[in-house]
Amino acid sequence: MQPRVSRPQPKSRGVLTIGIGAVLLSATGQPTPKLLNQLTGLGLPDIAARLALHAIPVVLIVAAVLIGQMAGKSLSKMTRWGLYGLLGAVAGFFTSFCLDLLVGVPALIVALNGPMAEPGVIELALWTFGGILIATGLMVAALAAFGPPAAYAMNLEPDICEDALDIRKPERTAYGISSIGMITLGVACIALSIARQSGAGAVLGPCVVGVVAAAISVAINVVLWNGLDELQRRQVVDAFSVSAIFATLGAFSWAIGQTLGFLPPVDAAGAFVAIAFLQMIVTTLVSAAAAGDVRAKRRAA
Amino acid sequence: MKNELRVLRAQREWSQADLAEKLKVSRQTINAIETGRYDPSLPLAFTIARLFALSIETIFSPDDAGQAD
Repeated sequence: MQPRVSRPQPKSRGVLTIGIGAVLLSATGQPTPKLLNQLTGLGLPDIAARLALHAIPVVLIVAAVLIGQMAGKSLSKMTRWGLYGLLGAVAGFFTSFCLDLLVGVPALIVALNGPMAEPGVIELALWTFGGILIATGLMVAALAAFGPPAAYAMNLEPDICEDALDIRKPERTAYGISSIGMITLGVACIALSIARQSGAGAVLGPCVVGVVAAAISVAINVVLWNGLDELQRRQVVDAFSVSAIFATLGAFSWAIGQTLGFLPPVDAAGAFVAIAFLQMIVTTLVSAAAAGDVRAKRRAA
Repeated sequence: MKNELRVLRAQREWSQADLAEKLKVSRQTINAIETGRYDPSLPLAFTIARLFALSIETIFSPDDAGQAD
């Protein structure tokens, strides 16, 4: 019997990409005045304090990924992803103390659409969800445009499974269409938030943008549905069925809380973002289960 | 459900992608069927049987086939 020759496993470059992304994100921000004053008050020169506040988030974000990789070695893939999410949230929390990110964006929106009110909880949720969709859409677009090199660049798992690298032309086309659907839905969420934050005379513009973006997203999802095979369609149906169960339970719990006076009345935008976020999480879990990344309970024989 | 898809595919030296293309499904679907994570619909099972020129029960069998009789 010939000795089995194992091919070297391709190594991911996700940490490097995250690091570059963190540097770019940090470059869009400006130090928070409060922490900047505290550091300069301690005797640190202004330029050094500013550099430190730009550098700390980059170090935190890269450290979060590295800690996640090291601590998650013995964990299942899903638990490890959960750990990445938790550590990423912690890094994001501390980053928000150091920097006000994307400082040019509010000014741009104000220039285009007029002054905006401060975001409330629902507006922040819409911005966050929209941002996640746009970021995910851009990553999927990178997979569509570049194929395996993009998978190398973005994968955080130490070794990339062959599935991630075996991206064929039809799949890349589907990824490309899907990315447009995600980005347009993200734009619709952000447009809705801008409309809610705008003055009475400036609501129509962002609403029109939101409706057009949402309509494009729906049309793209219809096109995608027509191209899905039976397993993929079942995943979508399963995910939406499970989401509906949780949404119904959540709505009932909220109704009880509201009746008892613990919770405010449901806001339509809040309900929309909660349901859409739930669907995204459940769809991810159902797809991961179908790919064997979640240990599913086997039926008894 | 158990199945012989991986063996039949290997006998013909087809990759999962080759088989997926012949059956007009995604490679992930072939992988999920081969690894027992997904049981195909009857129309797909018939298409698979037709492709390999075998009967469905030659390719697919229930997990408890031995206990059923």
